Amino acid sequence: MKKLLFNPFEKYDGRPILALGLVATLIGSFLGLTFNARFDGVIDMHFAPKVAFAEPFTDNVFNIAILFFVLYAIGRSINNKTRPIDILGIVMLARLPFYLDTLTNINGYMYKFGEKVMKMGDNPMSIDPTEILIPASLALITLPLLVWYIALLYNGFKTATNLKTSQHKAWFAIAIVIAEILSKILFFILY
Amino acid sequence: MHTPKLPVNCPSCSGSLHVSQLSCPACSTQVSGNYPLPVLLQLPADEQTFILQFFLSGGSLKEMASQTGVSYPTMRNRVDDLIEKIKQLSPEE
Repeated sequence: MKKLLFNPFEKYDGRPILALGLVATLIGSFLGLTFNARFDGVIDMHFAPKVAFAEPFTDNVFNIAILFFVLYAIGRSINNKTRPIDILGIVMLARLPFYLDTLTNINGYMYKFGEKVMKMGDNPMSIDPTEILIPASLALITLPLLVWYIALLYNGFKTATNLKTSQHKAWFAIAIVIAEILSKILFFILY
Repeated sequence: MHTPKLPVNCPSCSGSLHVSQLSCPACSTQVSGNYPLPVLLQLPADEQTFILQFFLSGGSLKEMASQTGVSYPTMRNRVDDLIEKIKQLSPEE
């Protein structure tokens, strides 16, 4: 079960993973739409008062495309037998835990709390400590979901490229950073 | 009947073992000498079985992957690792 959650790519590949990834992307985009989340970076998500219908979908398309191109280019330089279908499927499916994080904004809860914190200004004592408890607990959910996302991405990339050396592992980390920077630049230009 | 496992490494120093004696089970003729083990016999039993399965499946990675219930990249990685190992075991020409 643990292997299936963190490394399904050892058992499944190609079309089944791609199909699951497509379903995950659609579910994630609908969750983004329902809970007003913008995926404005490869490893970024922010809540907004209201998002337009197409926004979470286009966000995900851009994020998946950037992550795919960067990981595929680095994957090919590590092992020239790396297949694009594997990398694309991995990128699409790995983002599923990230999409689940949108659930923390049910009824705009996290967004409203964020706004309240912003309005506190110089008077942080004006907030009731018990009010922080639920948002802090919800924020704590984000961390394991992010770890799950990166773990899926790493395990999938490792399987697809036969990653072994520390140098290659460092290249994976660099790929994620490059993808994040590129996505931030793209979103800055677009919006 | 249990088939004894062919030892390929020295239990004392882990070095590669050579064949020093062979015998005919029919007439008990014995041949002595110093023969290095062929590369394939230097591999552990599970890897020898894997190579045999791969050969019997017509060298198809996809078929091997579906037979063993692993993904294609996992199977390809296993074959690549084995190729690398065999290259290291093979005497340089």
